[in-house]
Amino acid sequence: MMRLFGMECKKIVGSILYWVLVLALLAVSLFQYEPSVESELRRVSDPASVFYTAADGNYAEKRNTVPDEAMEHTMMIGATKLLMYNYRDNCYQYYPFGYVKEKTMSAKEQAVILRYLMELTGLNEQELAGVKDGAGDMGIGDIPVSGSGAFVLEPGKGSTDENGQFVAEPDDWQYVPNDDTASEQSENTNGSIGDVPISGDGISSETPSQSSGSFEIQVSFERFKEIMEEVNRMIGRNSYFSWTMLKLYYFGNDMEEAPVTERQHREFYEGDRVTGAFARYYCDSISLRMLFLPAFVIVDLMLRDKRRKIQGLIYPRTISGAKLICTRYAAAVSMTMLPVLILPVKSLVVLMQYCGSIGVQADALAFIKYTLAWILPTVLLITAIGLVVTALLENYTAILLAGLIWLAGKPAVDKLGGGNYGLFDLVIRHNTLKGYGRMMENIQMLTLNRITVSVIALALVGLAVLVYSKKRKGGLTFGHQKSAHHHKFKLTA
Amino acid sequence: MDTRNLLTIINSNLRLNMKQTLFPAILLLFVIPLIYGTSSLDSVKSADCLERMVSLIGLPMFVPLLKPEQKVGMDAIITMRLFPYGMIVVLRVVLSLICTALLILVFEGYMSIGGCSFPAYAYALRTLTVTMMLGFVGLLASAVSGNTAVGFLVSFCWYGVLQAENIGAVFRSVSNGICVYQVLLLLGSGVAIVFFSARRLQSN
Repeated sequence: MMRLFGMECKKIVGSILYWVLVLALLAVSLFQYEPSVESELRRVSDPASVFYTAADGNYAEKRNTVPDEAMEHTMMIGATKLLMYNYRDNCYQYYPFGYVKEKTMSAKEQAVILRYLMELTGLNEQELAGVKDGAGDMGIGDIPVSGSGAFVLEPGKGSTDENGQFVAEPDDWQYVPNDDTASEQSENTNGSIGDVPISGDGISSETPSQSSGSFEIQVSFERFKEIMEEVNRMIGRNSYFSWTMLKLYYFGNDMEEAPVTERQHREFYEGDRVTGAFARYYCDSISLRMLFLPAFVIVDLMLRDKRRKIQGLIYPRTISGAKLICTRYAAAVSMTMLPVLILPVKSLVVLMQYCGSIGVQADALAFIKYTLAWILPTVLLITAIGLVVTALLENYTAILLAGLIWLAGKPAVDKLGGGNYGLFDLVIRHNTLKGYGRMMENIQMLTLNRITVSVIALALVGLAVLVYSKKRKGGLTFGHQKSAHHHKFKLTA
Repeated sequence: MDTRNLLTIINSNLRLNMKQTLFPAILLLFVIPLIYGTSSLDSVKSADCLERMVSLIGLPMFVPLLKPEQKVGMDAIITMRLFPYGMIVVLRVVLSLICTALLILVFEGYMSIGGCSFPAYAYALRTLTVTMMLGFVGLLASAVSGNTAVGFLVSFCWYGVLQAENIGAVFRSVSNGICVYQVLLLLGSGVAIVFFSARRLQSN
């Protein structure tokens, strides 16, 4: 068995395909992951660095306490304005598969949205249709500028690039004068519509940052959440009105460059023990590649017999189909995981050295633990899909299928920060060095997800064994394939 | 060679490659609207859709073109044929090119019906350039290595490079226009594909 495993591994290593895969992973490691480690180590005294240790023990205020009434109000104003614009254009954006899509509502659905808007703003239909675009006020993720205004990231502008990193282009940000000015301008253009105090939570006095300029929210925050949930359900999965997206855009997130809080500091040094955070980030960097690349290794290995026309020699051997398929599968998975495990060694050594110099006990096994828990199940699944499809069809269809899985399996924006896991998520994202606590809060779902993915993978391997065994006996052919014994019957038991 | 012979060659090559090129490409085009917004897009977003999604048909349309000859034992049969293999490769590439252009135009038509606004013919030509680049890179890798899977993997890596901010900008023709280097690169890779595929056959 071990001899066969060794032979299969040798075959994989001898394939040019394997080395292209290694090069692709090396490129990701060199150009994406390692620069982030180096940059983080270069700025250890920067309060925004995860390495930062305050001499006086005072850290930035915990962000979770910040979502106060002012932030809730900003969220309500921003989301309501966005909903208003979407309603007028009858174009609602959402992220069902990691790419933005638009939905057009029916007249009945539009009427429901209108009812919600009227409830939220207290305005009537004509007023809602007549409110001029105060583009500056629909801002989310404001960056204050000293003096007079802020740069505003509009919903839908920030996106993820092909590497899955959150990207906000310079053009995505818009300079907006301060709210007093905007308010004045808005009032000038709209005439009669003035600010109405919030009725639900009792806030009546406004700070400039709270001013909407054209309307005021009429409902409590709890009711606002209920309405947004309903609107999100009507639009589709992951719209800008889902609670996760609203939180991501309006309550801040630790993917942003911000001073570390005491909790984040503690999580980094005590929870992650430094290397854990980087191991997670490394897994995030390569996760999307691992949704596609492993298929090549197994497809090439399986098709090698056909290319060299040695199927006729292999089929009559005494070795069982299960043994052959399982060994090949194990070899493909092991060889795919090998570079994944080796590539972060350099950064691990650098991090361990740094931790040694500051007297922190780092977790030397963090990379192995995270790689095996986060990446291995994905590799198992993609390799298993490649195995079963290639065993059945004996062509490159598995590569096309893996390509489609890669296109459709790309996680949506709300998954980027980690901690938001679904049972059937193919890859796990965590695009930040922070957020250990968030991950631990949802560790059960994460564990369940990885187990589910692994079990599906093993079930597919079982199916592949069945298909291969049938083919060896000449009882299963597909299309124009010749059976092992050149019988004419097809798909028989 | 008379017209009848040429038609026979075209017919057999079309039938030979149809399953591996056209069907997956059409399937891919059907999947795009399910995962990516293809309606009410402005010219910038339309360019992004064509560049990022539609260009992917370059993989199935070009990369597997040499697959039939990569089976062991086929080279001996092909070498004995009178008609030069290089010409067959050129013919297949041209046929794929025509089919790709048609598919792009059909998809652009679908986008236009969905309310997208963009210069259709200019974008079609630019999308064809990106698609060809993606396909030719893989086809060249397939010709050099004699393995179609290598071609697919190299094309995929090229697609990844295309998305990189700095390096990829040069090759994002739909958004940034076609530059002369791209045309030269396409012509060069086309010649290299014919050269390597013919040479590989002779060396076997």
